[in-house]
Amino acid sequence: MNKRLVVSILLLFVLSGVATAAPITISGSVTTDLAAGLSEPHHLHAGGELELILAHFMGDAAFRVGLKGSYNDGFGIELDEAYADYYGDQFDVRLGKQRVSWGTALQINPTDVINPVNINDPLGDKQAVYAAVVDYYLGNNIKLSGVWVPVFKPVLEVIPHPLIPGQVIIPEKVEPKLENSELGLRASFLGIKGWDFSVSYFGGWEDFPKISMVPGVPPQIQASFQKTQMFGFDVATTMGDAGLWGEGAYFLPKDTDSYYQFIVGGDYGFANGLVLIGQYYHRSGDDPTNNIILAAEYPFGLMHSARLGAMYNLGSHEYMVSPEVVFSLADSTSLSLGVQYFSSSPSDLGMPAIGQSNNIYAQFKIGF
Amino acid sequence: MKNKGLMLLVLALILSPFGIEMGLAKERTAAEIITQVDLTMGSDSKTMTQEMTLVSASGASRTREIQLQNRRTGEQDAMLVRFLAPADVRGTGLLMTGDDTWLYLPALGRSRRIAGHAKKGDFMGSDLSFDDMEQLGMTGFGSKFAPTLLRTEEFQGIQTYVLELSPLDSESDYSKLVMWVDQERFLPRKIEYVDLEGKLLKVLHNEDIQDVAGRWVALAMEMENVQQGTKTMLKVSGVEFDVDIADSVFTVRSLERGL
Repeated sequence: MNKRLVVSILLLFVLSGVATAAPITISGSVTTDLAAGLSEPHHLHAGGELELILAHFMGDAAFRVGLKGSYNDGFGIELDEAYADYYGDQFDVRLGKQRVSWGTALQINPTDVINPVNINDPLGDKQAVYAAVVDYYLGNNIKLSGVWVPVFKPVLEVIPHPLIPGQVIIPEKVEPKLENSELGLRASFLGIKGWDFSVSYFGGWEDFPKISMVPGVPPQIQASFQKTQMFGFDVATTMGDAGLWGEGAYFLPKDTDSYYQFIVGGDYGFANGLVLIGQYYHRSGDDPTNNIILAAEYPFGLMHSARLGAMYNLGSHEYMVSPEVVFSLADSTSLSLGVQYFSSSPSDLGMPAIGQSNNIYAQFKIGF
Repeated sequence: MKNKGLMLLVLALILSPFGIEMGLAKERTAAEIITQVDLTMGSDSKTMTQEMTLVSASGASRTREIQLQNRRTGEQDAMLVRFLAPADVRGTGLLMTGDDTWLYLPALGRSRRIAGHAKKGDFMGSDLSFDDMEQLGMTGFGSKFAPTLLRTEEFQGIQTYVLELSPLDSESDYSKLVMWVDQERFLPRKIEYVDLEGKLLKVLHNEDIQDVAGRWVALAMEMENVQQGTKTMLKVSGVEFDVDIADSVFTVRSLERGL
């Protein structure tokens, strides 16, 4: 995003706050990290990020603007989220660049289709999109949500050429027209005799383009996005000291075969604070994906924690492990030390990742 | 005849099983005391802002500011907790209504239903469990424990009743509690929490007791885990009792709206 525009937006919000003497809360974090490759030649990577959030609540209305500045190979700044809220008696409206989070599972959510994934961090925050969201409440337990995304945002503007290393393909652009906009609907039922569940629908575009070969000499590779529909369902409940959830989605792409994804899982906490999480993920298709996902978290020393994440593919027998220890150094100040190890390419685990590598890392973070 | 009748009554009292009579008298007194304690500490609804300081065994400390709203309607308890500070937990919220519990994490962008273990565990990483918090702030002890009056004694310069509380719930984390109750204000000054193996686990001290709107309130509490060497200090910065809190506050919608 244009840096001058970002600065202008910042000034606008700050000055508007001064003019109205209304309090604007400023928060955010500064993160700096260092990573080293686990294999030769042990590439080093140093980088950092500043996250700045301006928020303001005015009773029935609010706004929030989030900026992210990062320095890795160079310096970049982008508008992460920027939206305004209005709270009615029975409905809420949110307009602007935002993330819409659907589903009950952890990290992998088949029904969470509004925002495109971040290809550099497929299990992290998704990319924010411009959207209009209306939530209508029927009593305290039923929520009906409508999401309209006027302009489709793909996961990637360019994709690596599947045959020629180093070259890229630019997918055919989806024109910003009304007929190309995306629509999501969801009905959620909360606290119904100990259960939460929802049904959802999405009509829009597939995140990743369809690759096709055009005959000729030499043959040409083309990439284009295709329309799709999704019908989803998710559920969560508890049984004793265990939490249980499930989530599934059936996809009907316009030009290719339909497929489905589902994930089921649960967690259990022990008296010493240890929490264990297990999930099973399945994606149908010609090359189906069947993954076991395990995670554990153990707090120690009252303010520190040790975590372990692991994923195992039942078909390829490839796996990923990511142990991490987070030390709390002071209020809102932490040092994380961890390892991320893939036994093979992340794609063998069914993960849409580019540039993921085996590394050991340290991350220092201060929140304010 | 009157004198004869009186003598018979005295004789009957003397001849009655002495121990049982005394025991009943003690139990009734203990029940009255714990009922009075619950009346003093409990409330149908409450909003409170407090500073929570966690101190590790090595002496390092972390401070959090939280806001609690709770309400009791019949047997239905509802509590909404929000973290106000510091930055890394600001906006985190927890909603408990009856047996349902949801956690809202701003980074996740949605609420998650969480299991009972979260409720049985530590309250937000502190040395208090959710059950401890509920008993101290809302539900009281009378419905959870059977009280016995052990003795009366002077504690820190004030006269106290010393009660032993035996859990009625077989799944309690404690084998018993020993409570020193201020005889004048009917507030616990100290509570010892004994684990299931009979070892002292935690000790709570109530301090800075003030009259807030005609009700005695401990504005400072310290819970020490003597087995782990950690402690949690709670300092109340604002409290209101019996406030009218709308139903809509104790909803996932309210939880997700945040601060």
